[in-house]
Amino acid sequence: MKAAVFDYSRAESLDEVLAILSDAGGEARIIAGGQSLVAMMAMRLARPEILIDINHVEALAGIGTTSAVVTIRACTRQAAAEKSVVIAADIPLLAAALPHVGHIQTRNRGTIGGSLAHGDPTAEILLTAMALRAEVVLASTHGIRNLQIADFGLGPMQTAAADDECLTEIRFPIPPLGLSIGTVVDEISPKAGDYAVVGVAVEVGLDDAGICRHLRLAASGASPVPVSANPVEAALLGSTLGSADVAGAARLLDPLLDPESDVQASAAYRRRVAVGMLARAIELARDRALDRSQNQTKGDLT
Amino acid sequence: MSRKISLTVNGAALEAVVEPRLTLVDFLRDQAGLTGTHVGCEHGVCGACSVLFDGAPIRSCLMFAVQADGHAMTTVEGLRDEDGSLGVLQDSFWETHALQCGYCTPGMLIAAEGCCRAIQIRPMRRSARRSPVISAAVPAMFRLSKRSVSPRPAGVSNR
Amino acid sequence: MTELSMTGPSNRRFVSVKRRPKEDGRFISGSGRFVGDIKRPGMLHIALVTSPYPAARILSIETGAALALPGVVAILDGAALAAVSNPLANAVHTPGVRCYSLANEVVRYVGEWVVAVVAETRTLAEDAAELIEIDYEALPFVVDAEEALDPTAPPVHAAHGSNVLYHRTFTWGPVAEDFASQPNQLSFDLRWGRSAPIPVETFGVVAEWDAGAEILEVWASIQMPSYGEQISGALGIPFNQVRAHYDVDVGGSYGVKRGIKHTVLAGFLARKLGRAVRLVEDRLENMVGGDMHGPDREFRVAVAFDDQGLVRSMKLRVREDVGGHTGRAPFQLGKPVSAIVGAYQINSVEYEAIAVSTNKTGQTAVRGFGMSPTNVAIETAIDKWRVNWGCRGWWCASVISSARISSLSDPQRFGI
Repeated sequence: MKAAVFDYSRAESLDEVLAILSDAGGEARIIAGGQSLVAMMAMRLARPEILIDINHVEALAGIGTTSAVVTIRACTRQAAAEKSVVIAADIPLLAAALPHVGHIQTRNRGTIGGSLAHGDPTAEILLTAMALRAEVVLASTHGIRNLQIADFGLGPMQTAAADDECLTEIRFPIPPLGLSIGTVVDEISPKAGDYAVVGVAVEVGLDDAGICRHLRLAASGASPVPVSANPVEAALLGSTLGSADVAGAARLLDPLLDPESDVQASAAYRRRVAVGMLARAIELARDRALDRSQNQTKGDLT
Repeated sequence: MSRKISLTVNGAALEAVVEPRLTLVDFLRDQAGLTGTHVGCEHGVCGACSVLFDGAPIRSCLMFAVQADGHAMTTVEGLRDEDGSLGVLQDSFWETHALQCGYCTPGMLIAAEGCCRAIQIRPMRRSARRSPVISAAVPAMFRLSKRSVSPRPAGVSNR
Repeated sequence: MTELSMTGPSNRRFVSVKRRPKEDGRFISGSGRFVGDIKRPGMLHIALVTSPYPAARILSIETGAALALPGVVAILDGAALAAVSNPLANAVHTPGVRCYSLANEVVRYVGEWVVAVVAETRTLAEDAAELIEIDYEALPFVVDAEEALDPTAPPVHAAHGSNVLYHRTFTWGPVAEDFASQPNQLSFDLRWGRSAPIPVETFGVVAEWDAGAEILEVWASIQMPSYGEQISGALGIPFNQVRAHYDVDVGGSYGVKRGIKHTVLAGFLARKLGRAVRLVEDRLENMVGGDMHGPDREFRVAVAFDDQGLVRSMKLRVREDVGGHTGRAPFQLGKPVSAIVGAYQINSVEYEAIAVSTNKTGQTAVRGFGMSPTNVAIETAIDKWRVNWGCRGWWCASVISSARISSLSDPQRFGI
């Protein structure tokens, strides 16, 4: 398990990254955290001729926020995002997802953008981005384009990024103000830190009367890329997320799924578990949102 | 194709010429002569190759040495105190026999060291408490004075 | 009998005295000495080309491009090795079964080693391994032991004439009479699935031929006492010309690390090339071709018990899926013979052992040399028999444990 020969280039600026990508004609790969890429190179499943190291491009790291959107630059470490107070406050679903990503040691190197660009279909960051309908920004020497995450993830290890494009940032919408938010990221995996067999991400926003006014749902592991569960969301908005309603609505996920059988689990198992986990996660997120609003009320009284 | 790199390993400045495809763990073991860091799964899962990279634990099998140019690393050999005696974390692993075959122990120590550094900012995370023995060793570090409570075997010095 | 005092001040050096394990000192300081830490002057490295087929005939091996790569020292295939070494021993009489470190003429499982490349570094050896072109003719294969028993199934070892490598029935006591006289009987099937234990340190070996002393020096991740003997047998050199350095630290094994084929290969090359040769499996080699699988058995169990609820007789039929190479299976089927009733006193026992070859990875001595599956079969029989006896509900567990005690061998039989 030793990588094939490649040339290494440590870029200092985004322009430099884009210039090398443009010149390389598809033979260059960007390395950010490298937590998947280096293993693939060691197994010689990936063999780029040029490796462009973007870890020293300052413009590609950092977290910014506006009133509606949190922007995470692609080379922001997963560990940095995990510790970020901005993300904890404004993208609670991502904060809930990050502890599921690999191990502490891999999160210390791994980046938010690198995980998305790698395109692993069960990666939690992609799942979260899909639930929240995040937007990605791709840059090349030809310019910049924005893509909805659903248009970015095309299939397992396949993204819409062209060979000469660099993912520069990801924009996550902030949940509406005035609602009590509850989040759950749950997954089944052979062991902690391992790849998920099936995963779900749920963000619930309840108003003061306990009515669901905001719902963001996605499931992974039962389709070539994670799916946003739009019909389930539509069916439950405006309800109190009662158990029977949730169980019924979660079944609307089923037609969106297209699972395949592999050594980890059968297609039928993935389908059944995705629907069941989604229902359970919605109820747990609802309870968390209710707890939060009660605690806030108590806090107000004292 | 080979490149010259300058890095700090266990506080000492090093210069080396490396092929870009040389992983950090192979560099540490074969070129820097620090064989305490071990190769286990070779794809970032087992943790045996963990080292501190700029103070935070990482998998040294998932990095190329050339990427470490300009950075600082700590390996298990660097966990000793400044006077060369065993670090308190190492000593507490010994005291509680927090190992079996010892192969992944350097990675365990680095993970625990990273954890101890992290909890200066916030409480210990759940993942640091998965193994009951290791979970005994880490608190033991805080209890142990610099003098061990059990005698070391005869002939084994505090190297 | 000496009276033991359980109280009073202890003046013992070890018992009840808290001490630190001696070996921990080197492990917590990073100064352990594992096989990957062994460096010999001029040491060469092996990488392997492995089979992508479960069964295939090797038609040709093209090594020119690989040999032309700078840093490549030698390339060895199975035909060349088989011409000058003995088949690896499997301790059971299996005529026509000849397994070597490298596949000769045919491959028998995915991951089987076909060609060894020796180079100045492991990386260069892997580069060269990629350049070797092997032409295979795919052959029919069988991966199910039951199917492999069919006389029309693809033969794994054609020269053996059958996929049955071993078939023997052992009988102790009047089994037929005991079954005929006891109306209380039950039978069931049980499967012990194949396991693939993964040591955190892969198997590795460094071999060096001391030409002056005519001794093969071997440093390996090994604990096995018969290691040197098996190597000398395969290499055709006297046992006293193999010096295994058992002081090398071992990073986990549980019987998984046997490493005979690794050591024979490295030892042969070290002697031939006159330089130290290292073969440390990478994780891919370890998980596919390292021959580190555990037993893979189907049991048919029958027990006959008397009106007091004591087991009188037991029949065990076990079919072992050996895989493509005879490593520790089928030999491991013999271990249960020494403990066939477990801890119980059973009047008569029949044990029928069948070892079948298939196109799967071979086995090694995972955890207790093949005894664990038999223990599971025996203990499952005791559990099922007790439930069958009418023992259900909350008190079942305690009755089962008391049944175990009542069936346990009388201590006096052991002279205690």
